[in-house]
Amino acid sequence: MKTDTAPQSLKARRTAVGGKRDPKTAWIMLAPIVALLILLIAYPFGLSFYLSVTDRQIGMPGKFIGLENFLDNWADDVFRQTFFNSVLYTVVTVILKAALGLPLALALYHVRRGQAPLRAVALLPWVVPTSLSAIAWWWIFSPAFGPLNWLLTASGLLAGGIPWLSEPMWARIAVMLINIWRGIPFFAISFLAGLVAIPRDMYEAAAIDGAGGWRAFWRITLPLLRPVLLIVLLYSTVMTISDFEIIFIVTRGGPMNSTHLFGTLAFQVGLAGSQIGRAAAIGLFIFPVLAVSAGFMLRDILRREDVL
Amino acid sequence: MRTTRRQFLKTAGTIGAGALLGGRAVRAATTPSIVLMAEDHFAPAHNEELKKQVAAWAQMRKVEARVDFIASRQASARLAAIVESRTGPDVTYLWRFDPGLYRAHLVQVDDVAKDLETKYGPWTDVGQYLCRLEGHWHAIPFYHLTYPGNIILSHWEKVGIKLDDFKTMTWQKFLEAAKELKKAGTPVAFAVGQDFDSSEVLYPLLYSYGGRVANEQGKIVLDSAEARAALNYLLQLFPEMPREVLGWGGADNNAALLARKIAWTANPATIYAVAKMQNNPVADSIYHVPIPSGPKGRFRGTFAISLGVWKFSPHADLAKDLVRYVMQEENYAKLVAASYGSNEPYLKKHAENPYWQQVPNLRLMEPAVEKVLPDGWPAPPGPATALSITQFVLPVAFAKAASGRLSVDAAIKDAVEGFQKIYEKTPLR
Repeated sequence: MKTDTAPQSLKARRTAVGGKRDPKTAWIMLAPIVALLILLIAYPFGLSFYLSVTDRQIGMPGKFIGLENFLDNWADDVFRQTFFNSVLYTVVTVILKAALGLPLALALYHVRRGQAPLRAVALLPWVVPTSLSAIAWWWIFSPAFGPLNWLLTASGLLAGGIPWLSEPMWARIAVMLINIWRGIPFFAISFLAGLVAIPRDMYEAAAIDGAGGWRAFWRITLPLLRPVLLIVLLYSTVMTISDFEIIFIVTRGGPMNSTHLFGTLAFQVGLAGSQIGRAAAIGLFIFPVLAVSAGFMLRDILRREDVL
Repeated sequence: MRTTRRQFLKTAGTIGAGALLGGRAVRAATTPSIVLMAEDHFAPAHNEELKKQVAAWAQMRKVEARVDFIASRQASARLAAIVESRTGPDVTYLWRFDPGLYRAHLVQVDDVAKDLETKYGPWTDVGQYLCRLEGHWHAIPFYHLTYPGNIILSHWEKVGIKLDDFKTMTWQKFLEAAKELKKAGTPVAFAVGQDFDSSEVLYPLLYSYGGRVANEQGKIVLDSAEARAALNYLLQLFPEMPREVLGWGGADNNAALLARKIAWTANPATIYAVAKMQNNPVADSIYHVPIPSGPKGRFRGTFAISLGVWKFSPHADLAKDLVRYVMQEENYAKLVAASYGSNEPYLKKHAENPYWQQVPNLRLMEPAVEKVLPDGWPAPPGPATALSITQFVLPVAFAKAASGRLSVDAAIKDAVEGFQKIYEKTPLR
């Protein structure tokens, strides 16, 4: 017997909500935002693509050179180092942000007293302007004057300070820590929104069937959080791989190019060095990979919506 | 007759638009307006003095004028936007190799350069190298911030070195003193890596051993015995410095010197100036000394600023006149004083300003006994040289050797490859 609570297909839900389909009105309503997207995103993207296949300098005309910029970049040690840095930085920080954001979200979900102020405090790292927090972290990591090394040595944990910004490995760890610190709140709040949307009766039904907390987490929470997780992972991957401020302020891509990301290298080459064509190619290098990853993730999300 | 709301709005709108456009047209026709884009100087008094001078000039010429200040880190992005859009301030600061990068968009100012040279000249080598390109002046050198040694004199006196000993100091003598200073807990230190502070020591070091990155034709000549000698010297000096210099940025050496943790660093006189502004007692301990000499000469690095007039300016002649005005001797002297002596001149008469001799902490700084030259000299001051400097090719290679990651030969090879890739793919001029 069909009940009022039987799940509907996505198509049926859309029709039920919107009534008769009216694409013309829909497009009229969408027109302003589409125009803005074209102006602020599509046009700069198209221009970047055009610049990347020319030998343009700032203020000078350029000629079409095909994929020469991309090939030259790949032949450049600094670029290959930057590519490695960017992939490492993105993979490590996104995984850790997700891994640490989820327990934080669960904690915020279960806390009853002081929920609002706790959530506000948890959001602070993400809300504070990146440049300000980067400056603060630069001071924290300062080997001579920063409190972190002082704490480590004064507490007896270490005999000498850690060369945070002067050795490649530690500099990478330092900038990743800053990125993770900044990004955890975003993951946490997104997961929290997903947790709040999970119907309580599913947990009640699971409890009746004898499922403990851990089993309920694996069988109910995680699967139902998957769409949120995929969206957040996709967004964070794109934003992290194009990170700029943290590196620009804290390490300037050093020491010895060990923390350069695509954004900082492109800035150096394109704006400081006036080679705007080559810089555009640096920035666009990762685009195919990101586009394909985004395609797979979005396809997975949309497929799940259709099934639901 | 009763006026409707629609009629009232239409009439008011028409009058308003007419007043606005007509007013603007009248103002445009009778009152030229000049905008100077300048760097936000670390000394607020300098900004105020510059604004005052521009206002005085505007009053004299019966025009409108103003100064827009930007942070130095914004400079490259702002200039790129100005050049690409062909709109913006009439005259702007230009940093380092910008005259060579943007010469196609800059008004030639041979007349201004010649006038100033006749009155106050000659121009220094660095001014001509950066601004006089293929026989024409594309910008007027305004001031530069050279990188003398900044010392805490008391630390040196403890190891038996007096202020005037720096007049004849060699890199070898410096190394011996550095060992003693390290034992005393107050080492010498300068950035070795991805910062312009590093370039401003390492290039002069290279030159003082006879090494060059590229010659006047843009051919890479770094692979030489002289360059190896310079790098070998750095390898001897590096262990006497705190290893953290590999990660130093522009502010780290300032903080270390102000805290008296180090005895020497290379920097413009800005550390001293900021200490004076803040009434920090350490200011009295900071002295400025020549860079040590090498077997092939004595060199000092510099951060150059010039003034460029843009071709798109509708008032280029007025803009050139403003440039002449701020370069007048008495105006220039006021800017030097407002900068606490950190602004250093490109013209002989300006360098005769007694300011530096009257301040004991600056008396060995200006006039410079070293040859003051920018990074990249003597290669053509264009896109290839500019890019090689902004990518820190030399400092990074030297840092790899100093930190033990590469041998001297491998570091030179690494640098040569880096420079060759840039110079092959990037226009020289």
